[in-house]
Amino acid sequence: MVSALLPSLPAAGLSALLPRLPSIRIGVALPSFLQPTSNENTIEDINNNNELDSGILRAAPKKKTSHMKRRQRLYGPGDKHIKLKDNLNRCPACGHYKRSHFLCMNCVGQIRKYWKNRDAPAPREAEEFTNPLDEQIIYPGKTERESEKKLQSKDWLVKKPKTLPVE
Amino acid sequence: MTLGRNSKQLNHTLRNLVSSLIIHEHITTTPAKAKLTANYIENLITKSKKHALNNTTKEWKHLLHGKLYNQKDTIPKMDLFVERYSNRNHGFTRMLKLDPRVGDNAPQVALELVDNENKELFFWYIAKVVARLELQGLPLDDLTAKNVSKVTKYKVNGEEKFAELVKLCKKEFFTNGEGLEDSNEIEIDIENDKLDIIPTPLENKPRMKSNTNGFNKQTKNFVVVPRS
Ligand SMILES: [Zn+2]
Repeated sequence: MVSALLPSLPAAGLSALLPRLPSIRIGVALPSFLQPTSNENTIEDINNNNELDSGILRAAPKKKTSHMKRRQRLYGPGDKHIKLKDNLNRCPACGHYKRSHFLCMNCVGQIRKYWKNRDAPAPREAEEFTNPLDEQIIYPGKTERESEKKLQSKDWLVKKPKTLPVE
Repeated sequence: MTLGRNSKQLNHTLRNLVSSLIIHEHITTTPAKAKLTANYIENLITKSKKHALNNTTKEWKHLLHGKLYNQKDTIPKMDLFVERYSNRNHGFTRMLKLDPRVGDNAPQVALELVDNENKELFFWYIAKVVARLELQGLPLDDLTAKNVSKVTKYKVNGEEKFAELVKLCKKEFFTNGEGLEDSNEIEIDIENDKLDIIPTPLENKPRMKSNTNGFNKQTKNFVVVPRS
């Protein structure tokens, strides 16, 4: 089991895992200015090797947060819930629900729709053809693909929810 | 108060908003922007009125070129505002709260110039309320009566325009949209079947919490309206 869990490391990697000890060298001791400086080497080693090799542990959660604790944290506090609206009134014009001190969006929608139609530019007059064949040739019409028809419906747009009447 | 912009961007935003407000007389923005825009335009109109009194309009218009965009459309309109608001010292704009925007749920308001002819939402809304009351043959409640007087007070021919609009509202918003070509026929239709026209027959009940929505709060002899 243990061998299966551990990553298979090459021999060199395994030796690197072991704590670093000053290597014993036999021979004539070099003068201090000729000996390699040990500090630079170790820092480079830490940077080059992966984190397993450095022997330093970084901050990390010790355990996975349990289902219960996570849900207690995220959904327990009342101020994180969607609040109920108690500032609702009846619109004096259409009788639908509206927020108090706000305009009724049903009426605003109706009025703006009327404005839009009122202020719309006049539609272009159709050309008159003496010979109906001319029209067929110049404007042969267009065949709409299924995808184009679907695009026309604009069902992906998020729309305002409709207001409800007060019973 | 910088709307998350630096001063250069903020200036451009404000000038854009004010210019569109002058052109369209009714815009929809967030309350923060609307407040800044309202301040800006009230200042401009007050100064325009002052310069019109002192006969320094020419010099002032020269300065306005640096304060507005679309100068060809906006600057001539300032004369119109000076004339329209000759009875008012302040309060040339009106902010109406709307439902938050779909998508990012940002609060929205409609900012409009008071007494404009083309797109005055509050005028239309009150006309719609009065249209419903007239169709049902009910008297105006206190709040609506107050609003009607507010809306028609300084408008030129305000009451006539309001009466016309009420007629139009009856036709547009309280009929099912059939046979709407001759105005005479519609009047007859409205007289004949009152109840069919209004989909939900409303009585003149109090508006749930209070009848006045906070206006004209009565401190004496008030009637307690139970919440149902
Ligand atoms: Zn309404």
